[in-house]
Order: sequence, then structure tokens, then C-alpha cells
Amino acid sequence: MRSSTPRMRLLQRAGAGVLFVALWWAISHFGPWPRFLLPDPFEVVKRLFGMAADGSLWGAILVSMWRLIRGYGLALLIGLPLGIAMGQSVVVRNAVRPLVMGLQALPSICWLPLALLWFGLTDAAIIFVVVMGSVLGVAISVNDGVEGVDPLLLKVAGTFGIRGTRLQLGVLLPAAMPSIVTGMKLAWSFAWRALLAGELLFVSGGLGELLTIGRELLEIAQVMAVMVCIVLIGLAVDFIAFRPLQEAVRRRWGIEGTA
Amino acid sequence: MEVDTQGRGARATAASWTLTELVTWLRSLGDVRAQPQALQRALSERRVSWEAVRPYVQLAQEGCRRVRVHREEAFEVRVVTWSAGAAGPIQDHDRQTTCITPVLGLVEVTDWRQVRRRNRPGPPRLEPEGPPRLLVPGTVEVVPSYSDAMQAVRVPPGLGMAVTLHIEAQPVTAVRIFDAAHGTYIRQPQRADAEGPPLALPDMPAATPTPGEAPEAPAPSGAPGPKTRTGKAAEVAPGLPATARKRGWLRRFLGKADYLVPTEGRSGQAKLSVTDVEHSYANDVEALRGVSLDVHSGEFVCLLGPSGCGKSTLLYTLAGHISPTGGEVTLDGQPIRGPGPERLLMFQEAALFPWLTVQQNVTFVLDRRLSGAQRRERARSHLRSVQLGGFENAMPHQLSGGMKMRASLARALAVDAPVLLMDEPFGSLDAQTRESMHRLLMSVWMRTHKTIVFVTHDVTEALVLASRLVVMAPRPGRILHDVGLRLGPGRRPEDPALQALARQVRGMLREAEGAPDHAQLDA
Repeated sequence: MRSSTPRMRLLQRAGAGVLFVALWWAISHFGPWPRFLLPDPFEVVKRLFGMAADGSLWGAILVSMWRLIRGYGLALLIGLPLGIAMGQSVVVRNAVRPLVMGLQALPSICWLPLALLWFGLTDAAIIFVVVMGSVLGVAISVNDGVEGVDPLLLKVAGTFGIRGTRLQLGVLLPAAMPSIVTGMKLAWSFAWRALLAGELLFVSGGLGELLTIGRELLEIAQVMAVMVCIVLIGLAVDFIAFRPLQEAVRRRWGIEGTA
Repeated sequence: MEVDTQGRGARATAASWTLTELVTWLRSLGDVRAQPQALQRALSERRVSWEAVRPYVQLAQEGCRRVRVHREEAFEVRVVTWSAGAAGPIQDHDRQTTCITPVLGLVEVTDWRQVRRRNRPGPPRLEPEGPPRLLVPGTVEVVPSYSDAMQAVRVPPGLGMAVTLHIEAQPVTAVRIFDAAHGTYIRQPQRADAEGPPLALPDMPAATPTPGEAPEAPAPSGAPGPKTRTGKAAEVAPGLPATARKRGWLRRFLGKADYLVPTEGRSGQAKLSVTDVEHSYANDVEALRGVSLDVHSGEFVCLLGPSGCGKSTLLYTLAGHISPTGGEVTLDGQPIRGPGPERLLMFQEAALFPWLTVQQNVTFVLDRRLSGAQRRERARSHLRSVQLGGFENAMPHQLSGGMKMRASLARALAVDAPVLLMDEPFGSLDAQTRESMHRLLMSVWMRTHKTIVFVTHDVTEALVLASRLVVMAPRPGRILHDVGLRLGPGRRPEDPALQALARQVRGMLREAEGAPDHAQLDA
């Protein structure tokens, strides 16, 4: 994009948004599907506000987010040390890396049947799926980050006699932090998808349940409202948590430019 | 201090410690009050000879005002007086005068350290008869006549301090004592019972070189020394090598024109010792072959050479980042295995941790045993000493290249490693910044007197900084020349003497390159 002032950019974005809503409205009114299968944007928004007002949306969001936080937190707790261990020890790396890469290729929802058998119809099953969906991503990005650490800094640490946990937590982790944050962001989106896929497949409260109920009752407005809500949450987490975090890391580490 | 004043039993066995080691050990105890007991214990365990400590005991027991402290073959250091209020004979003396008196030959001060209260080292004053001079490590004081033979270190009144001088002088055959109380010279009585060669007392007014002796000085080495002398030969200790005697004379006549001198073997243990080291990289490049080098405490050694001559490999070997495929590398006699904080390596880049502020960069590497407040205080004072006061909370990426390098230097100095290994640390700086870094490094070296090994390919940089030049040659990496550099402090690149030397050294480098005519090594 050449020479686009912030105002121009805003205008372009708003234009695209208006166009999208107009297209949606047009398809819903004149398209091949009946209105109840494709409600227009205003019905969806009205439904969204309705659900927000009667509290059912907030409850579902809380349930889903609580699962996500537990699952994602657990993934970080496992993935960070695993990634550092892979970056530090050639043995661990050679042993674990192919396994991790292979499992990473497996869509996380494939773990659901196993999870249901192992943990039953509980939160634990979904959390397991979320963990499996994001832990490998975290480990790989931490590993890449640790391996990408400037070898000079490691030499400096060595010459000052910094080893062991002081090296891992004081040098490796902060040095790899920019790529770790990127990995965490990626893992977050994996976790978010894994969570919703899991929630869709078995009913247990949360946003996934709202979607399923909407489909079963042919409440398409509700389905679409929840979809909008999911998109909004994804964007909000990105804007509230990850963008400022990345920005702070970049500023602190003195990395030029933004990506 | 209750010590066995006879001490003959202890003296009968060979002493395993020199005075320098004794003083180092006593200082390492840290507690002045514990030292008499420690000394007693060392004596009873016969770790130190009675001879070495007798002066201290005499001072403590008899209130002696003039006493010999220590004499080795090459030098003698005496503590002449100290005040009654002195806390102890080894640490915290008050108003003492230490006299170094070689007669004939020259004094080479290789190390000095003066520790005031709070352990802040500063330069002692070397006062011959005449205007006061600073005692500078690595310089040579030519002793032209008897009137200048007396070099006294005077300690300002009111400052408790200990002075340790490592002085090499050669040859030392006669000594006189300066009586600080009366301001006159007194003769040292002949001591038949002294260890080492007996002292020969010269006739007092001699030792001014006569013009007739001058032409003999530049004679090629190998000619036996005593033959060329007239009258003074009797004063020369018989056991000294002829070249050593000769060099003394040579230096006297050539004076300061002779800046490059062969590095002579030194007595005492080397700080860093490299013996027959060879190293080949995995791709069969022979980076080092048969390299041997002894670096003594307080030396500033520049490793100079064209690229690929193995100077960095040698430095990294000393740092412990490379374990050589052959030979031995030791620090204070202990084999070096891996990097360690007592040998600090500084790199071409500042290599600050980018996520920490300047001050945190320093505090992070400091010993965890220090409290947080101590670490911060230490970081601040070292940052101030490199003129980075006020930038404590800046992030590294906000600093200029020179400032980053200074911060890196402050970080290295804050851990107080005795050895600094520097790998072309100023190579990426512009000329002006580099010059100011040179001045800073020199002042740091003169203040702290660390042992520094500095790799560079810049001849001028090496000449401005070094007290010793080691010129290396490539394919395979080896040492070609090893010369002492007799230049005082405050050298400037534009000094004619330095430029003349630079030409000489560039000649050596061309020799190293093996291309005698068109090698352009001016950096």
C-alpha cells in the first residue's frame, strides 16, 4: 500500500465494511435461500444484543473463556519448558522434535474421541483438546526462538559465568521473547479453534453449545450472532492482549519497525 | 604479635611462598585483625619463610624504624618507616615510605597497586630526587646515576593503605637505604646471613657512565658482559646472564630511543600461560601451531597480526570458549576448562542484553551474593566511571555505538575480573570514538591494573595501548615476534616516536604476511 494516510486507510476500511454488510443484506433478501436460513445483518445484530441483554451470551462466553484460559495456560506451562529443553539439549531436540512436528500436523479435534474416552463428558476432555491444539505450537515457537538467540549473547553469558536456571530464565527466555510472543499468539488462535470445535461436538455450555442449540432450533440469527461474537472475541483478544504485548516487547527489545 | 623470634626452624625448610604470595594471601583474608594469627599459623605450618616476615615482626615487636622488607635476586622493596598509629604492618599502614633501590641497571615496574581504605586503588607517587613522577606499570626507569637510584613511594599522610609493588630490576647488586627520618642515604650493612647472593657495596660516587663506555653498548649480543665493563664488573652479581647485564648497559646508553625490546623471561608464575598450543578446526585449518606465551599479571598484551593468523583463536582459547586440540593453557597454574568470570571476554560488538536497561545489564552479571542495593551501587559507580552517569535507565538500543561499548566495558569492569580478554572491541567504532575509548581503557588499566590481552589488527591501536606486542603470522597461526613496548602513558597516535614504531611494526606484519613489498596493513 503506497502513500495511504491513516484517514484514507480508515475510509477504505469503512467502505469495505459497508459494502460487505450491503452485500449480505442483498443476498439475504434476494438470494437463493429463504430469510430464515440467511437472516440479514440487522436481525443478527438485534439477536446479538438480545442475547447480551438476557445474559445467555455472557454466561456462555464466561464458560468458554474459562476453559480456554485453563487449557491455554496449561499449554504454556508445558510448552515453554519443552521448547527451552529442545533448544538447549541436543538429545531432547533429536528425540522430541520429529514427534512434535508430526503431532503438530494432526488437527487438534482428532484428539476429541480419545479425550471423551479418557476423561468422559467433562471440562477436562475439552481442556485436553485445547492443550493438544496449542502446546506443540508453543513448544515449536519457543524452540525456534531459543535457537535463534544471538550466539554472541550466549557467549557473553558464558563469559560472565551465567548458567543453569539463571541462563534459561535470565537470558534465553528474554532473548527469545519476541518470537515466543509470536508463537503464543499463534498458539492462542489454535487453542481458540480447538475449543470451539470441541464445544460444537458435545454439549456442555459455552459458545459452542449456543451454536448447536441455534442450529437445532433453526435459530439461524442466533448461530450467526454467536459467530459474530466469536470473531469479535478473537479480534478483541488480539487487540487487547497480543498487540500491546508485542508492541511492548518490540519497544523494549528495540526492534525496528512493525510487522 | 607473638611470633617465634628465632624462627630458625622455619627458615631451615625451603619457603614455599614468596612475599608477594604472602601479602596476597593475607589480603585475601580480608580482616586485618585476623592477620597476626594467620601469619603465626603460616609460620608454624612453614608455608612461608621466616626471612620473609621477619621485618614485620621486628616492626611490631621492636618498633624498628628502618627495616628491610624483602629482597629477591632482582629487586628489593623496603618499607622504611611507618607511623605509630598504623593499624598493621601489612594492610593499612600510615605514612610509610617504600623504597626501591636498584643500583646499576634499571627498574621496571611491572605492577603496582595501592589500596586505600575502601579498596579503591590509585597510583602511588614515585619520587626520585627531583620532581615527583607517577609510577606507571610497564615503563622503565633508566637509572643514570646514583642520585636517581633512589625511588621512593611516598604515601600521603592520613591515608591508610597498602602498597604492593612488583618490581623487576636488573641487575641489582648493591643497595642503599634512604633514611626518611634524616633525609640522607645510609649504607646497607653487609649481611653474611642473607639468602641469595651477597650484596656488594659499590664505591659511592661511581656509576655515572663515562663517554668511553658508550661505543661498547650497541655491540651484538652474545659478547660476554663483564669483559666490556671497567670498574663496575665487580658489582655485577656473578650468577646473572650476560645478556641481562648487557641490556642494562644498553638501555642506559640508548635511553628512551629503544622502545621495542625483547620480552625477557620473568621470574614468578605467569598469570596466563600458553604452552605449545595447537588448534585445528574441523575443516583442517591449522589455526595455531606450537604457540607458547606467558602473560604476567598487569601486562597489557596486544595480539597483532593479519587476518587468519589465529589471534582470535588464541584469545578464545584463553577465554575457554575453544579447547585447543593440543597443548596446555593455564591461569595461575590451573588448567583452563571452559569460560569463567575471572577471565572476562569482550567482543567486537557491545553485546548488551537488549531487554535490560544499561544499569540492569551491569547488575545482572554481578555476583548473586551481593545484595540488590550493593549491585545497583556498584553498577552506578562503574557506569559513572565510563561517563555514562545519567544513562542508567536507558535501553541499549537508545545508545550510540561508543556509548554501548562503554556500557559493555563498565559491565566487564564491574565484575572485577583480574584478566580482561578483548577481541577487537573497538573495531566497529569511528576513529574519534575509538580514540576516546583508548584513553578510557588506558585510564582503567592504570587505575585497576588488570591483565589485558587485546586482539587487534590495527598497528596504531596496538602501539597506543600495549605494554607488550605479540605479532602473529598465519598459515599456520604462530607467534612471530614478542616484544616489550617501552612507551610511557599518554601516547598519542601522532607522536613521531609512535609513528616510527608503527613503521617498524608494519614491517613485522609484512613479514608475517610473507609479502614483503605490497602488503597494505594500515588499518
